[in-house]
Amino acid sequence: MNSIQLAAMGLTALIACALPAQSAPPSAPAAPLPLKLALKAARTALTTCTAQGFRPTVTVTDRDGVARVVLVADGADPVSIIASRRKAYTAAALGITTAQLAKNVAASAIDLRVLDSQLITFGGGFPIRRGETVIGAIGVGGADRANSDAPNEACAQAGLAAIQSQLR
Amino acid sequence: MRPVPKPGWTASKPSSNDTLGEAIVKSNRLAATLMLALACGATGAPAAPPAAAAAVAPLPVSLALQAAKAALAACVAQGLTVTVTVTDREGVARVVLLGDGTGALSIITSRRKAYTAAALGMTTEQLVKNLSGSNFDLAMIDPELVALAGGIPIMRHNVVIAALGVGGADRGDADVVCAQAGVDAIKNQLD
Amino acid sequence: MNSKRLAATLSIALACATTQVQSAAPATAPTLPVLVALKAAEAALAACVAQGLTPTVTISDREGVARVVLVADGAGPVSISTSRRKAYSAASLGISTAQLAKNAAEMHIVPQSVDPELLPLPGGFPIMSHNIVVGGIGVGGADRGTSSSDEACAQAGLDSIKAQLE
Repeated sequence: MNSIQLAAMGLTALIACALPAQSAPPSAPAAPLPLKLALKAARTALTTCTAQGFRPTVTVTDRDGVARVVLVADGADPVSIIASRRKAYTAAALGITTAQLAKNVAASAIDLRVLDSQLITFGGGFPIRRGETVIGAIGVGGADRANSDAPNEACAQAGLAAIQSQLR
Repeated sequence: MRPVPKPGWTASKPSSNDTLGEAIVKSNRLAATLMLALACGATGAPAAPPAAAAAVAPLPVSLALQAAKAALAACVAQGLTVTVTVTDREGVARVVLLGDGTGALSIITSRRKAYTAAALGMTTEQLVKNLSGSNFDLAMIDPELVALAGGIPIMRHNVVIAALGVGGADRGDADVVCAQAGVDAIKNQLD
Repeated sequence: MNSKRLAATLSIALACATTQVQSAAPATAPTLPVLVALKAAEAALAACVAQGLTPTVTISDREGVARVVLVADGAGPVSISTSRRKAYSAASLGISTAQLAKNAAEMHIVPQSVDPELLPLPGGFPIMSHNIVVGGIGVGGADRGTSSSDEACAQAGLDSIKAQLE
């Protein structure tokens, strides 16, 4: 078994152990995340962070991890643009938060880069679900403080909260 | 990971009778006009404005697979070895069927034809007609686009929800015929 | 290095084929705040979506780096990249992408071979404040293949922030 196969097995384990047991798969594909909601989430995340003096980048992707909304705060670090995108991509691709992925990776010896160079394990990426189905993701980068991603996560969660009730 | 198309920059290919300068001027001047031609030469303006794209349900994988199998079967019945790709509305391949004996090139052309049909909302056969007689460089827009017949968009309520591409038949319009058979197989299930 | 110098020279030539009035830069160069950029992007998007079109709108800073991206439902990767490249082209050269196409045709230059991010197709405009380029707006893929509506939607975006740019 080559290293990629090992990594793939390991990755499946990393994701599976974090998920609740899945019910039967939906019979029809869940409606995609409309731009209106993606933008509402992104704008909320952005203003939550800028109000606290942070200069983040917020990315909201579709279920394939393709960025559909990007908002870069004034003065944001260019690295935050990349981090934000990759956090959202990771959450969309794997269906778990980037913080959870970090925990799972720490508990194993998987090198995620073998699988996909775009995966990232810094906190701030959250999947967006309609029911049980991942329909997109939000990623916030650039609002770190003292090596903690807590502000990134808090702003992303504020964005999620803003659209939660409309995700039926 | 879904491949991200990089901006293409292939310099315009001059036709054998043009000087390089003439060819470049021609292709650039044609660029704006041809961009219009790319879509205007299609089925013509839809009778009603398309439903808001967000409201139109995507193509379920069950139908994508049904269409792909029908397209493949149509070609196999003629003794042709092809690849069939069905993409979603953003051109991401969701179903790929490689017929026995297909070569690497047909995998690529099948994908690019479907991608092109999804991206431009027209058949690639129509695109070829629209571009004939010009040396407009499609790669300037996106290197994944390809002007080869065999890609057909799949519509629901006048909105592109998917596309099907057949590559490798290498015989006249065989790619188109098989692709059409695939799309026809699910036509009535798209209400 | 030679090719970079050549690229820079050609870029200037491509832009200067259009006469521009540039006043002296103010002591603090004006910038385009993200919420103003977002307002323009939303206006451009709304103008297109109202016609049943599915574009991507990109607003970049003056260096052409995307600061706001809005991808309409149903828009695909082609529109995402063309939108980005138009904003980049307009911001970095300070002219509309339609003008870029004209200049390039007259000068027998293929802009993409100077810089592969350039795209000489209509739909990109520089965003000006006090005659200084503060960013670029690019609309791509409105009609899934034509550029005919891209410019109108981009202009609607610009119009929506006219007051903020003065």
